[in-house]
Amino acid sequence: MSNSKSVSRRKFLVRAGIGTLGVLALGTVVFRNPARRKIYELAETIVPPYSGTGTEANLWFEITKDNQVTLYSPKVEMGQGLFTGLAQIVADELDVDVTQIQVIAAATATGIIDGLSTGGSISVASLWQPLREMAATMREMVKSEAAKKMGVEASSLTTSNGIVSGGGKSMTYAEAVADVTKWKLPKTPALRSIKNYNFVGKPVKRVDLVPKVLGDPIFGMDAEMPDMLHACIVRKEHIGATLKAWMLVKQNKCQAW
Amino acid sequence: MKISFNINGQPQTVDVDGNTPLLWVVRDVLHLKGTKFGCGKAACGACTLHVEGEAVRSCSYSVKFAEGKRVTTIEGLGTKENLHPVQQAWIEEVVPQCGYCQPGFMMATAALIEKVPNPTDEDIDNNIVNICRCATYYRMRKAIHRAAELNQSSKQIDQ
Ligand code: FES
Ligand code: FES
Repeated sequence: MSNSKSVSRRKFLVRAGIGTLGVLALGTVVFRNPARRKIYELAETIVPPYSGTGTEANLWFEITKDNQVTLYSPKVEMGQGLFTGLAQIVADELDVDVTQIQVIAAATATGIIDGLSTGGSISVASLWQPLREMAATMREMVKSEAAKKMGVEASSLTTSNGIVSGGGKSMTYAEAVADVTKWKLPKTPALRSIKNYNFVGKPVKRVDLVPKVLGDPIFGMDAEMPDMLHACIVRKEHIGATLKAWMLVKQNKCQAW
Repeated sequence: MKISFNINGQPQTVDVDGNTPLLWVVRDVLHLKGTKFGCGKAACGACTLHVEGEAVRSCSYSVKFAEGKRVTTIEGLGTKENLHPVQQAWIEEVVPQCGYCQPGFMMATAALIEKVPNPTDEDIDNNIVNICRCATYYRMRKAIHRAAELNQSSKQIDQ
């Protein structure tokens, strides 16, 4: 079962009881400066609001009250299927079904220099290891809380589809981690062998189909900011036409197209 | 100029220049962001919505022409709980890649299968002339056939 490669020690950040949605969130810093994004700081502006100070992390996910997993991706989904790939990676170490995972594009904080654009086929390659480690760690954290609540040994528990079971009892991950305020981070558990994975390497349906067929506002162009102005390029109508003059008018006088 | 129309089942009045393309009224005034801008020249179909059930390229349709009419955008096509047959088929066939062009294609398809309940490949070629940068055409064709099927069976259930 265990991976022969040694697992790097990473600094994971835990958030519990955050807002009204998340019951356990785990994050880590995967990129070095200057590409680091301050997603935690930004998260405070997202509804529902997150508590705590802005600790830097640029990859994180959480178990929500309805026993779903929300994964905030630092990389952009542009049709290449990245969100599905990330969900597959998480599903196999966290023991949830891929359909229980919602992948969301983490918003960029203003002024961040993003030296790491999405591209070059590096998204999965760079997130593969940290995501597996985080998912495996989260699974162990869920198990030890479930063990306390059920009054059994954590080692006697099994996990699948977001449910912890053992000794004739079972509870959802969300139930297991609900109301826990103090967390101890366990050592990163040994990762599973890739050949035992159920989602990685197998065909699964894209995880982003529903928002895309509903026309949800998921594109950069759909973002709205306070007092935002809308502009549109007017192109010349004839080949060889040149600009003769231009005029600056107040925004509210410029509604005609 | 005040213009009143019905959008996704709701009466709506906007006060804008009557020559403003319906697309910008829908997106920027009514904040319905599902309808997309691609070319602004009626060439790509990203902005397709329905006016009185007809597929219209809203980037090239002045809002004044919508006066008193029934407009449907992707937001009014179906809901998560109650997907339109086209949306259902799109999920079954895993059509969207980036997804940007998809609302336009789905609106065009929804209008087509109301007129041509069983479109042939030729009907599809002649009527669904939108552009998809990700080139999802192959799956789209399968999904259009599937949507037609689903649409017919849902109508039979309704009767
Ligand atoms: S944006 Fe309207 S057809 Fe391209
Ligand atoms: S799905 Fe990307 S443009 Fe069509």
